[in-house]
Amino acid sequence: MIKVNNLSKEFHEQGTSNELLAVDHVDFTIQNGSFCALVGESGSGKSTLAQLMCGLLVPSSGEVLFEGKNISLCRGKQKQVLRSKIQLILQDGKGAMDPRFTVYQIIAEPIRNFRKLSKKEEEREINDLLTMMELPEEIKLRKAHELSGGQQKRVCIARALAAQPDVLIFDEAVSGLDVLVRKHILDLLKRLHQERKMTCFFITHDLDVALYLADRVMVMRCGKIIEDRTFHGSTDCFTHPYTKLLLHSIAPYLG
Amino acid sequence: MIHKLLKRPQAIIGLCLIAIVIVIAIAAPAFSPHDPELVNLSQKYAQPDAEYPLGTDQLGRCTLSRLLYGARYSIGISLPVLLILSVIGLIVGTFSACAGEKADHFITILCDVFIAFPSLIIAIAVIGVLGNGLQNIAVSVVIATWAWFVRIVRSYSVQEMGKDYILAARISGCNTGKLVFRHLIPNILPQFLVYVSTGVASSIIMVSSFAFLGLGLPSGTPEWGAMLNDARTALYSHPELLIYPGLCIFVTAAGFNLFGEALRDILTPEEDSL
Repeated sequence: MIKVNNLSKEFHEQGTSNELLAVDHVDFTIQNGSFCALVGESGSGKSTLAQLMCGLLVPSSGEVLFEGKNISLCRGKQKQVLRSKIQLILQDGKGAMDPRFTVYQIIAEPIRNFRKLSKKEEEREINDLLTMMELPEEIKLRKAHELSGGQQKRVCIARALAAQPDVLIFDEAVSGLDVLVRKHILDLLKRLHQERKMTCFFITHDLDVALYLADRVMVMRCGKIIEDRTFHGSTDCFTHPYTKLLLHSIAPYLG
Repeated sequence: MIHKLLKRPQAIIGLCLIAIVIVIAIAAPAFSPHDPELVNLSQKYAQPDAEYPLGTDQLGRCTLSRLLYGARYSIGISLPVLLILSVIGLIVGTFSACAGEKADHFITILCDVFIAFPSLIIAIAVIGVLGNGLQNIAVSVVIATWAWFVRIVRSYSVQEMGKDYILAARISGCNTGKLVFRHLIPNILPQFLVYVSTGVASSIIMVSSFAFLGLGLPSGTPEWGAMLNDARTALYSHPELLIYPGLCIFVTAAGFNLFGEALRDILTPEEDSL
């Protein structure tokens, strides 16, 4: 369970005394095994929230509790365990891979850092992950720039899974992909969630993607969560005018 | 990697030039027809002949022998100095970029102070305190230029640290040490090597300018920069005395530059696929 209590994050604008409140006193709780989506436009503070939730940023005020422990206060071994339990998948698949590393090295990194596996077990694990992500085995020796956009994304997901996390946070996991690849990856995530009973937190700017995947949808605007609804197939539950505007903007040309 | 290097004409030419200079530096006594420091005033400004293949200078010393021995000073000082500078640059520069705001601030200010000092003044101070000698020249070059190396590594590192793959590596459980040695340094190395290779030329010139001022090397030492400066007085009557050492510096610098650029092309992963 992740509990976010009154969380804020301020950034100083360089060279000025201006403060930018990226995340503004946010509260919510994510139950284990749920699939939550966070919808918001660019600059609404979604990515900052994601980085706060896995302890990559230190909050200006408030706290993030994972299984009762304050993430930003963890140090040493505890921090390392926490890192492995909450995995973030970044928006830019290619940018998130070291350009000098092969796919094998990329997926092996969390295994080597978090788990003590022998060479053989490591190789078997990586092969399993590639199969699960429906990636061909010969991809192992390629580097990031030799992969297609969809493959890059799937390698990133495989890397996150290699850490054996309890929580997966996706930051714009399917933006910039073509429709077919996107659908494929979304279905993969859905299956993953069902099979592994993993807690998923999906950040996106597409409300339709959120509605397709999640059983709970939160809408974020200017650093605040303005609507938080459990979603059961009908969009009637959304009442905030901004959410309604988003709903109206989903492919209006279809009539 | 060696295989890839050998496919590039740039790299081959660069390597050949470097190899020639290194061979000359090592085998200078075997090749040179005369003692480079032997003064023979009766042969002053002699024309090239069988005994003096490139003629003699204003003190009747064999120009060819002096050029061959000069390779020893240039290579012998600049390569070790650049190695030390690279290590200092990589360690302090990446530390500055990773260690937090206060340390970064301190190192940046320290670099600014050293960069603001003219290198010549540092050299005069260091050699004045430590005395003449090859080692002391090396020390003064290191003190005069280390800040540039730190600053360039720092700026590459800061740029690289903002990239997503570094964030992803942290998510994958890398601590700062792993982050620096497995991800950061390998990725800034290509650009840095090019900087280092161009630094060879400037360090040769720096050593030479010290030599001219009588700092570090005793006068009459067969060093290319010192020869250049000796020959200035005979610019109109014997311009070839200027051209020879100039050409040597040019060839050595070109060799390192070409090799450095080829290295950068190979080490930049995006170009693997081309």
